[in-house]
Amino acid sequence: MMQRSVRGSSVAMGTVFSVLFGILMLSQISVAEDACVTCHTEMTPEIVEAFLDQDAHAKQESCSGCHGGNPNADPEDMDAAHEVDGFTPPPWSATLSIEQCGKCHTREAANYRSGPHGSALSAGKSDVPGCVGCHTEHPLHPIFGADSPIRPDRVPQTCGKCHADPAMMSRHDLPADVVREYRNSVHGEALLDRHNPLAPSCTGCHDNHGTHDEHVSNFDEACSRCHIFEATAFATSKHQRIWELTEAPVCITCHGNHAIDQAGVHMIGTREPAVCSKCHNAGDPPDEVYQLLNSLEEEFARGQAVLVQAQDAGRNVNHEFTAMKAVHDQLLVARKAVHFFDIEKIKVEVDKGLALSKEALGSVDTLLTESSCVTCHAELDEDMAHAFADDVHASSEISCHGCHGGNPLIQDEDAMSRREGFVGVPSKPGDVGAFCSKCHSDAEYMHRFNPAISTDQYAQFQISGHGLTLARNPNDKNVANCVNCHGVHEIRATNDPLSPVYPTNVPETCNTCHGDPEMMNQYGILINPYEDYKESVHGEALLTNGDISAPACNDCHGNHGALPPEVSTVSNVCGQCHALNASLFGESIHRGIWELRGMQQCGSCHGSHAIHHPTDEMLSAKEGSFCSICHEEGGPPDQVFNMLDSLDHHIDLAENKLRLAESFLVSVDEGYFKLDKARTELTKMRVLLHNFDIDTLSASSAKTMDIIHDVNHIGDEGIANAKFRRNGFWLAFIIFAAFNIVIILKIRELNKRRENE
Amino acid sequence: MKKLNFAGVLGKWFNDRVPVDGMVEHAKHKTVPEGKHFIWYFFGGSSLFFFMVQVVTGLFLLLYYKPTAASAYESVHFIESEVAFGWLIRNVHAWSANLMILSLFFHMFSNWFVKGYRKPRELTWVTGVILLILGMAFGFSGYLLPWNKLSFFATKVGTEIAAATPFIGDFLVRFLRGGEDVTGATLTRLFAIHVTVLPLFAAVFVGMHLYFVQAQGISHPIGDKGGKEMKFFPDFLYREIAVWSSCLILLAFLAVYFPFDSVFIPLELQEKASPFDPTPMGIKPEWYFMFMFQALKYFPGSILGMNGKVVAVMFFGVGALVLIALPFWDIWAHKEKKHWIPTAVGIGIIIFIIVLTALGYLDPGH
Repeated sequence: MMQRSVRGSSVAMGTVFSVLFGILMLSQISVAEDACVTCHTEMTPEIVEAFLDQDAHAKQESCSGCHGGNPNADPEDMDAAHEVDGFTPPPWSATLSIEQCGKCHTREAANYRSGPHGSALSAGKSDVPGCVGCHTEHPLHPIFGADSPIRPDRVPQTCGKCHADPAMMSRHDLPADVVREYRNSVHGEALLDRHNPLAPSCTGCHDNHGTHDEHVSNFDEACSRCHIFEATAFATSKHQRIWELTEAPVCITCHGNHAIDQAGVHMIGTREPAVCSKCHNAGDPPDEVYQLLNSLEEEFARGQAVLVQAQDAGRNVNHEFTAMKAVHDQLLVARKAVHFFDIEKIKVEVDKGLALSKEALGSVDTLLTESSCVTCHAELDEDMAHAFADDVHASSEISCHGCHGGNPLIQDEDAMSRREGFVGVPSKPGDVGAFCSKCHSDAEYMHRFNPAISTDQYAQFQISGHGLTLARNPNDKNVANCVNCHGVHEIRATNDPLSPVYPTNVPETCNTCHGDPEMMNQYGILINPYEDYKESVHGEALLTNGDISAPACNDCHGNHGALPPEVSTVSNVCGQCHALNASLFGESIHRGIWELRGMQQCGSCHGSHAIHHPTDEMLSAKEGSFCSICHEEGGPPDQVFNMLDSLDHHIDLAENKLRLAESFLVSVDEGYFKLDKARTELTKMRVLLHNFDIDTLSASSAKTMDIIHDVNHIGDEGIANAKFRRNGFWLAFIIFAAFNIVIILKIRELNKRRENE
Repeated sequence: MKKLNFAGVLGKWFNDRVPVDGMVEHAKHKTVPEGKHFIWYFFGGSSLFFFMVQVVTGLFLLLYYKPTAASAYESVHFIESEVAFGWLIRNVHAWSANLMILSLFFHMFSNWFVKGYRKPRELTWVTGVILLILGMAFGFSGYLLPWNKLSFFATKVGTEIAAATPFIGDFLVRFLRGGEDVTGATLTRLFAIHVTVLPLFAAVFVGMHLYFVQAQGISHPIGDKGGKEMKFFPDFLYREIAVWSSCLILLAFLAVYFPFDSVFIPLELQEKASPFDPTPMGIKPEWYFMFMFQALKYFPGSILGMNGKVVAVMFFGVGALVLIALPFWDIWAHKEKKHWIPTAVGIGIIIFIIVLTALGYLDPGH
């Protein structure tokens, strides 16, 4: 019994295997003997060959699998093969391709229909890709095939066939630069340049068949597929809640969408172009976050610099370098933690990083304080050692030997031997520039400290008034070199308010020499520009109001390349800030005439160091005035003055009218808005007059006057409105009073009647 | 059989279906007690009048007002500057709201002192107190709608108080604000509350309150039983009409000579609200919330281990209960006897409200 059942199972299994083998063989054979293949091998050999050799379908399907028809027909009988229900000969339209492919690829087809391509297609739009638009046909490559257009690194190119075509995209009202933006983005770079298989192509975010349009909530979803930590942190943040309410997208609000740059601390903070500045003002939390993160970035950079320095001094710091990697990793964690938008959480990560750095640097960090230069010279010159503690070089980990050479690790006078590279101090004033420029002209070296620092200071100095004079006499101690302006052992960064070259200190620094008549007489230089400057509009802005955007000496004269501006170049100097005035003057009739007469362009009217607030009264042809040199009284200068004066007067009158209307508690906001506009126009005219064209000014004046008329009209209307309201009220009051009187009479009459009753 | 003219036929047809004759008969017998308390009987009517003004002007405002953060402020500005007589409607709405609350206070306290709540009028009192609370809720929900800085921050401060409610405080704040903070979502929901939920309740309770007054007649002060009375129709009605028309002209006067925003809101707080602005100095709630707002400040941070604010909110909760339950604990009034305790409590509450409101406005901390 048992034996029979074993035999029975064997027979059954044998049968199953035979059937499976038969099916397998038949399927192989069927392609070879297929009527379509037989016939089309002759008619369209390239298609058949491409299909059989490369198409992803060839292993399972033959032509009829997609196109229908009868593959078992007689190859000689074309009608019998073709004229069958469901035969769909090429070419396939996009709609047909979705229908046909969708018979097997149902999920993909359904996704496609729900996506924007599908919607565009069903809306009857042309140029919409169906299946073969992306996948190609005969052969349709397997996804990761060598020539596959949908292999991740090929996808941008495939999508770009349409999405980078400006003509086509403009027809669909879509941007045509998304593929280019992606190519330059951090994702594009990772995928296409660094061949990182994890980097997303277009379909990484948009899905492939659905190619869903970006929707606010989908951004989270798309980005969080990879950036899980950031997305999770963000989901708990207050920004998530705010942005949900304002219906703004989330990740892309800061990072952009296609053109996503390398994220970093530069994005944070309230200074433009940091992204936070879109909503936050100075002093808001982003500044604190920036400082926190920056402190760790700086600490990391400082640590690296300290280790390089220690290595240069002959120490083995390989272990410390390895330990610093942990600081870098922690820096990345801290950057990610920004997405919590919670200062406390970010601080925890930054503090961890700082602690790691301290641990990693260990004893190496005390290298500078152990320096033999410091140990000895602190005793010899206590003030110098003290001053150097505040020096910008000290804070950049450049110690004494950085400038003077020598080896600070040697604890005796050998530290200052030529063998150890000791160079000492420059012997004459003329050598100081070259001494400092060893580092300050080395772009690569300087950029380690500050990528934005310029390295042409010495080159400029050499062609400056100071540089040229020193070149003639390198021993001249009167001529300024680097240290005269910047100091020696207490050199501070130029943005340090205690630096002698900080904007508000520059005038006084220059004045140490240029205010000394004895010294200046030797060189025939104008004395006392400082006193004039101090009283000027620029001096007042900079020195009294502390506005560091106002020009100090160096802004007009240059700093390292200090030269006195010549008559012809004055307007260029002024034009750096007063660009419009300079350009208008450049086009004016006066320019040519004044140049011929050797007169300064801006300085003739405004002065040079003693520049005061310009007033309308400067436009006058009265005797003794500057204009009267050429113009007669009542001429163009007086006409322009009258024009401006009259506008000024009318603006005041219009404002009074608005105030009057407002005193009746009628809103005249629109009037104030226009009044501001009129004032702006008047200010513009004061600039415009620098082209000295009375017709242009007259046109401007008429335009301003129109605005003033509007303001007056609004004021009048407001007053009329107030009167209307009040008159209306009193009319209503009379009617109601009369009504009440009638009622009172009625009550009296009733009272009498009640008494009688 | 008497021959009826057309009006008579119509009247009969109507009378067969609606008991008009019964109502007229009822009205003929309706009286108002005369005497030294006569003047207080007008405040119920004036409250009703201001309420009707609110309904009418509110409907007009609805035609143009847009309840979104992006356009609420602009639409109010549009109503005031562009819509014909929009300024009048809006100012009357704002003034009438305040006068209604004031009138409600007078109405309530006058009834407290003449003990108009005694049997069988307990429910008239209860519905009246509910109407006062509804009136204040109207004021609170309507305050945010102009979406200016004052309204925005006053709502922010006001909803913060709700957080101190025991157990459900956090939920209540989130419910009122539609989220963590006051945003456009708060505006939309307070608008919905202001124009649908509250009017619905107000209509029901005004209906009940008026029904009780009609059904039970107007109460005489204690000891005035059988005192002098005035016929409601037409004697009292004429006086009521004179009061109402005076109220209307008073509203017009205030709207024209004292536009609400210009008088009550500092210029810088009249600007459009922005959620990112820091809370400005000098934010005060409406005057009828001031005593509660100020009282909260005097509660210490912690009382017997409980959060001071929670205790304060509970204190006001108990206060509201004492108020609403007055007819039930004033056991003396049921026996038609005056007792000093309810009167003293009433005077105590009035002094409390006046003193704290004054302190609130004098407080330099604002």
